Amino acid sequence: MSNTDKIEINEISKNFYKKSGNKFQCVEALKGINFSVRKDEFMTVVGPSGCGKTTLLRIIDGLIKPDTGTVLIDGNPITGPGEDRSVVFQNFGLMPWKNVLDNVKFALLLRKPELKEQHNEIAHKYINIVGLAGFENHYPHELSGGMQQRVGFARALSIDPDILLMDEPLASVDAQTREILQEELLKIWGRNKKTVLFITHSIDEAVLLADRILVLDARPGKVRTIISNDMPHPRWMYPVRKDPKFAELREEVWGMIRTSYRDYSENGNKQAL
Amino acid sequence: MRKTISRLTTFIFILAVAEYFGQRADPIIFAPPSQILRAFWNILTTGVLIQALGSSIITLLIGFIVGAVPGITLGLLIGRYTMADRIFSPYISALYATPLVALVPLVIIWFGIDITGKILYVALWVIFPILINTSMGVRKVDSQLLEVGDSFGASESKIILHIIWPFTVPYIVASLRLAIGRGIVGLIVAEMSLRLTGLGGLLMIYSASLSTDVVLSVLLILMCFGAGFTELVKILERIIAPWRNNLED
Repeated sequence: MSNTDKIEINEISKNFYKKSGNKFQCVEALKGINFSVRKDEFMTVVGPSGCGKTTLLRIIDGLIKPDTGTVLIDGNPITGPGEDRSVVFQNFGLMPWKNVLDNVKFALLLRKPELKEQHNEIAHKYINIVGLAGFENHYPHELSGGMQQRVGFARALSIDPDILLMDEPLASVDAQTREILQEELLKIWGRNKKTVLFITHSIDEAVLLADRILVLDARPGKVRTIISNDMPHPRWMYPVRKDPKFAELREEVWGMIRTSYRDYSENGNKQAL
Repeated sequence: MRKTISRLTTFIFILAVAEYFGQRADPIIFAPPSQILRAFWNILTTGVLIQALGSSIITLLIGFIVGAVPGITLGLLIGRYTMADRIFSPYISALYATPLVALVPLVIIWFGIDITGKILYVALWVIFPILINTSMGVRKVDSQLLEVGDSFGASESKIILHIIWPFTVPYIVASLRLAIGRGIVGLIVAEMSLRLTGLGGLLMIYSASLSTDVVLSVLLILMCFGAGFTELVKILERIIAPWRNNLED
């Protein structure tokens, strides 16, 4: 392990058992996953659907345990969810009975109970950062999907974790809002460096945001390759998508995923039979 | 407006028909509305009605609470913990399937014919819809919200307090509405079968003396009694769980 590795994934495997008919079928969700995420790096994870992206993220958060292998953070194996990590969920995961302020404070209540007096102040600070000032008393159902996910960002950031785990956070948001949020995410990350593991099914998004892109194979989910993106930061300052390097990287990632699909339909069918 | 007028007309018509035939009927079989009103005035001014109503309301409210509190608690346990579900479910299904009227003799033997027996009998009617609805609500809790709780390191008590309880409250309140109707059934059965008290007791006493006019006036009061309590719970529902509609979408 090098000094700058924040998260180290060693030989992670995870099987699920699915009932088909009256027999249980074993599905290899992840098999022998090895990679590491450097400190303050923005890493995106792409792969064909069913490649276990979300399972991988849940294992790193400690929500589920892998069958084999370990997750090391700063060199220490994790035993469950910890205050050094927060997750931004795909469907936002906001409590419908709590307003924006209380949804953000929920994370503080759980992770920073010792700072009780400052909870309001901290929550307001992060609500401002994500651009929701003035919406503190609104309930989730009164907000658009994009705004709801801003609450999700504020909640995740409020406890000031070292690591942000994002599970397709922009997948349920419309295309325009999505681009705006991508840009804002880059700004927030630029000002307030975190180690980010960002799962997406959009290759465009994966290239735009990442320092490195992890491409996974499906069934069993395993690491196909890791592609570096050394386009300069801050990326919101120039038209990244027009850069020839962007198109090149997109093509490279897409090529990997295409081969992955092909391998899956050749081997996968054999396995299924 | 048209609706009100047509309803009012129909009501007056029914009253007139009842009055016409009532005047001519045997007073043991039927009483005309004017006579029912007189009987009502009579039990009101002698204080019989107030006393019965007071006794019924107290029995119902205490019985309701005695049934609702363990109903909600058990419902939460059964909904949340598979073990509790496995242990309690067979008994609950068995008791729920038993006609509760058949339990009256046992209630009398165990708890006597006074207020204790009545309260527990009302509780018996109240507990099941609350318990079953509560546990259903808990099972429907959005699994992603539970995951959010886990991810931010919520303890079991925090998960119950901040996620399961608020999610389940609308289900509980809806079940209270079901339960109040059943509670009134239990109340009247208890008042008629145990020591004669309250509105149910009045029905038995006055029908035994063939005072059909009083019996009919008590029945009308019971109708209002049931409607009043259901309305009360509806108001409670809007106060306690205003986010219900957003969940049901």
